[in-house]
Amino acid sequence: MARSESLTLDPKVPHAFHLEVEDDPFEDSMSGGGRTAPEDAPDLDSKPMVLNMGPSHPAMHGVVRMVLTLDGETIKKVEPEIGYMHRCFEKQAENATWTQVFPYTDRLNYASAFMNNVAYAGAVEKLLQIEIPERAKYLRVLISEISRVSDHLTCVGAGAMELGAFTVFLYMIQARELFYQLAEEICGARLTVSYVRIGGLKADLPVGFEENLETALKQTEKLLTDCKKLILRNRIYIDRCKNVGGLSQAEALSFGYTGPCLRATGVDYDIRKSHPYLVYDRLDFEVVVGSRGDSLDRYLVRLEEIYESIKIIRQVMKQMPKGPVLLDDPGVALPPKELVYNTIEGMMRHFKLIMEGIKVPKGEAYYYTEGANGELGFYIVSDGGGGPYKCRPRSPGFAIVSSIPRVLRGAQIADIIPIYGSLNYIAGEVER
Amino acid sequence: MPKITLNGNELEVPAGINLIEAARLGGVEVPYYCYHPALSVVAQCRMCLVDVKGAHKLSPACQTRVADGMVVETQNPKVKTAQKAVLEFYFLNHPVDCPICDQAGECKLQDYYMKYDKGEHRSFDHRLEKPKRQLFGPQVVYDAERCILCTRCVRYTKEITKTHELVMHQRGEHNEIGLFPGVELDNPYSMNVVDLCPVGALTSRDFRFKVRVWMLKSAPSVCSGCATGCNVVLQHHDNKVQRVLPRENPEINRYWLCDEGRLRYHPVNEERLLKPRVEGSEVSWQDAVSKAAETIASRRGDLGLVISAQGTNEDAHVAAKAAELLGVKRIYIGGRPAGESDDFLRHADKNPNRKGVLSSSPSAASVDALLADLKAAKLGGLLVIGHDLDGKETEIAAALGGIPVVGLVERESDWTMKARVLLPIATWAEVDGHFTNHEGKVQPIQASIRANGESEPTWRALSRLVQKLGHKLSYRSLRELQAEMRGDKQPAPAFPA
Repeated sequence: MARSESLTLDPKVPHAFHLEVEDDPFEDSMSGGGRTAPEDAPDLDSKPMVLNMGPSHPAMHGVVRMVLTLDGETIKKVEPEIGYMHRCFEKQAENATWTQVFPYTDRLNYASAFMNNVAYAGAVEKLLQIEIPERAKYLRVLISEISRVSDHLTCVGAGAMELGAFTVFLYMIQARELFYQLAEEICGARLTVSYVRIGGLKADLPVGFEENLETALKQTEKLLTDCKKLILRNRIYIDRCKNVGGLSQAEALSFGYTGPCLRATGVDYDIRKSHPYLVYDRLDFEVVVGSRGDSLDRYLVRLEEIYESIKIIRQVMKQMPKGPVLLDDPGVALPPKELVYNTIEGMMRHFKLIMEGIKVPKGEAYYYTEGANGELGFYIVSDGGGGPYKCRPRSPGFAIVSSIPRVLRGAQIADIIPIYGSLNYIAGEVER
Repeated sequence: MPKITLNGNELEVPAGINLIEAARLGGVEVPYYCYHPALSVVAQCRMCLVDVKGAHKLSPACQTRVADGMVVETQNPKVKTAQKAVLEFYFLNHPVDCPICDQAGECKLQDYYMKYDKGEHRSFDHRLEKPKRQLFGPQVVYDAERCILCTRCVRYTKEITKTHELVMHQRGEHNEIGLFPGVELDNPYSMNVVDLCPVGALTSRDFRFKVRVWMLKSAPSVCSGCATGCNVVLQHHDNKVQRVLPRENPEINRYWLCDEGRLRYHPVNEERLLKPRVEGSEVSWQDAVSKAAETIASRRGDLGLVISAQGTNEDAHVAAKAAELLGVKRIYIGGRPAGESDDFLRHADKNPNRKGVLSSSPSAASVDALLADLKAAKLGGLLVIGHDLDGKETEIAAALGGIPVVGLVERESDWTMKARVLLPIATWAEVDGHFTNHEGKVQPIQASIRANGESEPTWRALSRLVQKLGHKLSYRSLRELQAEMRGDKQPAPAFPA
């Protein structure tokens, strides 16, 4: 269901700002476009300038190099160069057992690590044709939404900071900190979690988690109320983001956008609704959709999605049944330690599962989920052995990066900041 | 040929084979412990039970010969239940030894548990305890708790070595393998029982706790212990050969190796000459080769060349060419002295390649002739390849007098202190090449580890020396050398790529 009407800005804030200055030579133009020189300006002999931005640059999220061809402040051409973050994930996965790949997946989209684990595990379980316990499904949804919130908070917060709204950044990081502490409670790590296992999860929720979760959610809602006002009543923020770096729906679809960047253009596509996985079909939430497809919409879609995720988290905690969190299949799950130390069967099972890995039948599978940035899928090929023959993550950021030359063309250098920030390109998952 | 139906598929198989082999031909695995193609069939372990239509009980596949029209199922629910039951009985009293058992990683109990069982432990009584770590012989250790009493080892000592050292003691659940009273498991082929044992009951003392098997890399080769040329697999880790396993070869060694040959990997790792030496002090290869050339050129009289029966065919070819180029008229062949032989695998000639080396240099005389020539002062200088001189190293050293000697050796020996220059050469485990066994069969060997220290393959070291002496003898690679050797004939046997 679309919610574009809720994204209209506070009507009290004027959308355009005209500078009434006499004899202002640049009176035609303001935000979102190049400034043209007046007609009687002298004809200067000018050439486009090539400027290198990155790979090490404070405003470049992650490491990417952009070679800009400029005409004054206007970008005529952009050549992005990626690869600075390539860490041979796919090759490493070929040399590991199925379970050993989890820590590698954490480091793909490092802003929302749980979701990578969930997508990878889903692919392997699809090939194994096993069904994880109910509680594990709910818990996977819970951790996915927690990490989605972290990712969106990081994106919008960092974006705001780069446009000068430092308080927003600090408030959102404070909110993110609460979620990181929840992650630490669940599995011991804030970022590189490796919480998911083939057949379920590493362990159940700790005692007292429900209260901590509710406290964190309430605190986050309070912080977000303030943040929203700080952004949406901010002249500078609106002017720098509105109508900047927009794409049409057709263009977005043709580039292969998915996720918030696509929904910001008005396309109502969310994998959790269109192709429900885990228990999303039992949960009540709405898909946040924008209308203009510009940087402002991209940021606002993410902001509103945080509220939807909080809604999902609350429902999950209510609906989640009691039960095991790991499938009791001896070919997949490690045995409990009492069995390992005292029975030969437990010892052998533990030994074989660790040393040789889970034996996944020959075949290939693709499992896709709604990641924080779009369709996050894993394509795996098994040759019957204990580790992947091939493991390829389909990252949502790749399509987005491919569109950077189009989106940045015609914008000014200062526009790179909101455009790049709102696209939320995570180098880890794009370059693996 | 009889036709059988295996798991629903029709299969044509040779007559007379058992169902385990028939299933293997059909690409189906039937698990087994006690069956071995070289030993008698006893159907002791009950692991290979399969469902043959028409039989009122499950049949052991090792004992059932194929018959035309037989219908066999190897994975129906009846068979699966039986497999789980058999394994459960084995596990009732099996010690939880995996972390300290050498067999972990290549243990049939572990493998079959995950493939055919995955069940739980259900015993109520105290686990039976039996003697562990019994020394059966100088090379073999027995652990009665791990033993599944398949009797492969007993049948081996009865039928293959015919030495009857191992017997089954006691009855029922107290069964153990033991030594016949008054004997030790010390026959020259005792270590084959370690290969035969499907679990960690019989383990090799030499390999005990050395390295975990999944860390080993393998390279196929040929044993350098004697002229039989048994096929082996050298398993190595950390650039050291860690153990030797037999490679199946129905014509030469079948499934077996002798203990002496198995342990011939030790000299590869130990006490090697790692750097070139000139008069006792270590120098660079360049300096050593110059000095060696000087030494040889400085002689007053004929140059003698001693080649080694342990070298490869490629080494021998280069040595023959070197002899020609250097104008050597007196060639001798050295090696390890002769030893014990029997009618099973061991040959009296304890060098792997005498036949191959002699085919390149047929006029090579014995070490005795060398001794005589030295005593008669017929030689003005000596170029020796290989440190073994038929056991006569001290006498040769004494007879050398003051003549200049250059040695291409892998280790020091009783004569090497008399050599002015020593160049380190690589051992058989570190080079590619070919050995010709006593029957004339040419077999390839493959390098398993990198040459230790600064040692070089003999053919390369020798050609460097000959080049320094002003002659043209160089090869860019072993392949170039091998191409020259075969001329326009068929290439020598090689391992598949």
